Amino acid sequence: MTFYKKIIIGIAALVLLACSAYMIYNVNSVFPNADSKSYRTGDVTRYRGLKLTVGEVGIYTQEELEEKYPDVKNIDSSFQYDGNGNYVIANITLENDTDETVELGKLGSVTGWVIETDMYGNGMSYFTFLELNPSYGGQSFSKGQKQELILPFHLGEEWITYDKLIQEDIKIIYSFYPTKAYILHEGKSK
Amino acid sequence: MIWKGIKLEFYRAFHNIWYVGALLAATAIALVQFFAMVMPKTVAIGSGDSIDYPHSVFNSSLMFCLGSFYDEIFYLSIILLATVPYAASYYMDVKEGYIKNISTRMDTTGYLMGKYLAVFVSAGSICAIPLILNTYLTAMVLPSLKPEIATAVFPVIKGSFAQELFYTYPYLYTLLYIVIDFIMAGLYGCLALVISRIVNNRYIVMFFPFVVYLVFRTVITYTPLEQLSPYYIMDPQQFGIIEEAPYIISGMAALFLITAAGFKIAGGKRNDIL
Repeated sequence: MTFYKKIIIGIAALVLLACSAYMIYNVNSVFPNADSKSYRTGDVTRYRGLKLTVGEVGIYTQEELEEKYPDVKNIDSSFQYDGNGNYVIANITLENDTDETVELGKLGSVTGWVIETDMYGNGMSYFTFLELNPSYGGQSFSKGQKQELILPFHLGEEWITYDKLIQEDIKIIYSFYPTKAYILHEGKSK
Repeated sequence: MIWKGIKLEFYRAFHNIWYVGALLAATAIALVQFFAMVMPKTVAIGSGDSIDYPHSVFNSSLMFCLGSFYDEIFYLSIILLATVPYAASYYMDVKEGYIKNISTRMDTTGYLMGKYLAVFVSAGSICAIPLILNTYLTAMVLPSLKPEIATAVFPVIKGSFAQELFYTYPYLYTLLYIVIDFIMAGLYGCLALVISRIVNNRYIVMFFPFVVYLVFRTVITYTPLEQLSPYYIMDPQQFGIIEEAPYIISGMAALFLITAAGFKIAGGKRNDIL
C-alpha cells in the first residue's frame, strides 16, 4: 500500500473514531445513569403528585402472613398466591393534599411497584394486593382523599431463603428513571 | 525459526478471501440486528414514565437482546463461519504437498505451532469482531445505562455466572463473554486439525467442527451435564440455563486438550514426511 493511501486511511479512521466517540458521549449525556433516592419507615415524599408516607416493612413466612392477614386465605388457589416462599409487606399511605384530583395514569398504579433484593427482583403479588386492599380505587385520587395501602411481594424459596432475606437490604421501587426511588428496608447484616 | 513459521501461517490465514467472506457474513448478521432491532429503539429511547427504564446497550445489542432471532442465528452459525476459512488448511497442505516444502525450509515445529495458533485466532476473530462492532454501534445510538435487575428487561438472572459483574460493570461482563466466545470459536476451529490426517475429504474436515458443535449441543441438553453445551457456554444472556464457572472452564479446558493432544497425536510432527 502506498504511503499516501496509508495516510488517507489513517485520517479517515481517526475521523470515524472521533465522530463515534462524540455520539457515544452525546447519547450518554442525554441519558445519564439514574440517581438513587431511598426512603425509610416514617419518611414522607411525593409520588406522582400525591403525598407518600412510608410505613412499616415486614418479612413474613406464608404461615405468618396468613396469621396476620387471614383474608389472604380467600384467594382462589388457582391464582397460586400460596407458592412456597416468603412475603415482604410494605405499608404506605397515599394522600392527595392538593386542590385537584390526581390521576395516576395507566403506569402510575401502585400495583406496578417492584421489589429488589440480593440480585433478584419481582413484581407485586397482584391478587394478594386486591385481597388486602379491597377499597383501593385505582388510578384516581380526589381532593383530600387518603388511603392506607398494604403492598405484598412474594419471593420464592428457590430464589431466596427466609434467613437470607432478613440479612439483605430490600428495596421496594416505584421509580427507575431518571431517579431510582425506593423504600429501603435495611437487612440485619448491616 | 519457530517464529518464522508462526508469521507465515498468520499471513496465510488472514490474507485469504475465505476469511474476508466469512467475516463479512458474520458481520452481516450483526449489522442486520443493529438496523432491525437497535435503530427502531432510538425513536423513543425512554417512554418518559418513571416506572419504565429506557433502552440500554445491555438489553438491545446482539449479545443481550433477550431471546431474539438474531442472536440465535449468530450463535448457531458462527462455528461454521469461523471454521470454513482456514480450518481445512492443514489438510490441504498435506494433500497438495505444501508441507514437504515447509519441512525443507523451516523447523516443522514452527509451522505446526503457527498452524494451530493461526486457525485458533482466525476462527476466534470471526466470532469476536462482529460482536465488538455490534456493541460499539449500539453504544453510539443507545445509552450505556447500568442494568437494573428489578426491571425484568435485562438478561442474566439470579445465580447466573458473573451476574454481579453484569449488574455492576456491564462492559467488563461484555468483554468477558467476547473473550469466552473467541476462545470457544477458536478451539472449535482447531477440531478440524485433529482429523486432517485421518479423513480423505476436504469438506468433511471443514464441516466436522460444526457437526460436532450441533450434535454435542443437542445431545448434552438431555443429560445432567447440559451446562457443558457449547451454546450455553457461549451465550452471554444465559437464557434458559444458569451457567456456572466450573462448567465453562472445564468445557474450554477439555476442548483445548482434545484439539492440542489430538493434533499432536493424529497429525503433526510425528507424521513428518521427508
